Amino acid sequence: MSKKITFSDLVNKIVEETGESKKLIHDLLIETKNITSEGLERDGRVNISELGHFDLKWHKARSGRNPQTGEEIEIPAHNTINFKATSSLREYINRKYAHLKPEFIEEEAPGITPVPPILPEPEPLAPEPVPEYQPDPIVEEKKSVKSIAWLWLIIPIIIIILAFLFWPSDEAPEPVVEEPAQSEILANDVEDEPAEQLKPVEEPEKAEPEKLQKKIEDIEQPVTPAKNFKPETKDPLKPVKEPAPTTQESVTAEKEPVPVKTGIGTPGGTHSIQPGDNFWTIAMDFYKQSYLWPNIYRVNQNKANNPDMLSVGINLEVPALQGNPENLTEKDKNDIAEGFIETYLVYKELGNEKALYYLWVVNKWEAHEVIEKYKNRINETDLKSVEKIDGFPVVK
Amino acid sequence: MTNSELIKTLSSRLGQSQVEIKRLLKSSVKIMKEIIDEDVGVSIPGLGTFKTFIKSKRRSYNPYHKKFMVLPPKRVIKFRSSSSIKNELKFTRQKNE
Repeated sequence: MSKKITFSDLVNKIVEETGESKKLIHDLLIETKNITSEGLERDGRVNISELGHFDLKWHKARSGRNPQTGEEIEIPAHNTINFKATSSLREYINRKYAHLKPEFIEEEAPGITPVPPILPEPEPLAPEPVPEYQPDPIVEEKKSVKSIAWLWLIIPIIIIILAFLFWPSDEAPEPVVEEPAQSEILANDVEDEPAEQLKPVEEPEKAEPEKLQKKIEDIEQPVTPAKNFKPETKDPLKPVKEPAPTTQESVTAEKEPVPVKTGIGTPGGTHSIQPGDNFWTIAMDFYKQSYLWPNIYRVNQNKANNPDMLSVGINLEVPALQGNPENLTEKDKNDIAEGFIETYLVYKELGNEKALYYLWVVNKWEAHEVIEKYKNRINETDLKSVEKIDGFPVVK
Repeated sequence: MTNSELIKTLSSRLGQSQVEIKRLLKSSVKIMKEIIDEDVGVSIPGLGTFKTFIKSKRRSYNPYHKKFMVLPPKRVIKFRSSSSIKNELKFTRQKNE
């Protein structure tokens, strides 16, 4: 890691590569440094192709602290020099790691440590049902106490009434009446209270594990499917040379009425337009490759000038291909490229911004003969702007 | 300053054609890239040092998907400017403004 090449070794290596004199290379590097410094001072940015760019970044004054003494110090406003490598260089040095992609992890997964904390949570919850049940026995106890109080009030009254009734005759019945009454009271006390107290204690114990299990299931369920989730790769976004137009044309297809499948035909025949047809669906039916539709349009321009508008009942010719859609011959490619250029021209005429796509495709196909043939009709600025676009063009 | 401006200035100062300077600069950059890739530091006197280090994998939060994600390790080029150029340009912007 701490290895470092000396400047003279660097110069020697470049001399070996280029075959120039040492002095020239030495001067080149030193001058590069000087010019970088001047350029940074002038523009604040210096670009060196394939390596990266240097930026001068201005930092405002701020107050800081000496980490050793804790003393507050004022950091004056200043510049720093930042370097950012080009994406190609970054990709180049990261080629070993290129296969690695960011992976989503479950949100709670930081999570997997907090999950145990979540599990104990039901335990704090567990006491909660107990207080819920506890009040009930208390209320019931109160009720029983009340009823007992009533009994205690009523019984003496009854006894007194009885006593008054039977006073003259006998005193004997009194204990007879009292004893069952007391035993009843005792029975009530014994039967009611413990029974009521025991039941609520048992119920929450049964309820708790069930609740816990449910909660555990609830917590676990979302975790398992989410772990299987993997982020989409970037590939679908990356425009590929040929399928690229399909994505664009799918947009046009979506705008047009829902395609009705009219049966698969063979190229070289004709197709009569039915409601719901468009070039896109016809190309799909005949070539099984909808992006080849400009090839059909090329032959039928006199019947349908605007490719987005087709009249029902028209018979469209579908030109045959020498090869097949997966394996196009040179002639096919040139024909299709012509179709794309015709599409570009008509869209250009109609003021449709989609036009550039079709020119871009032709340029990407490197159909130079066709571009040469149409040179007079293609807008030069369009061609230049299309040549500059590396990736798939974006239409505003 | 763009690359072409750099090449123009270099060619005028070194008395070489722009094509030649372009070729030399390109191969110099190529050599530097190779050295950087071998995990060896490259320094240009007065400008600074280029070096790579490995950023280990880390956890991050994707605000769009609202999910945490693990970013894989990657190599990063670190440029440390030399003290001379740092001091030279330290307050230039302040002077200008």
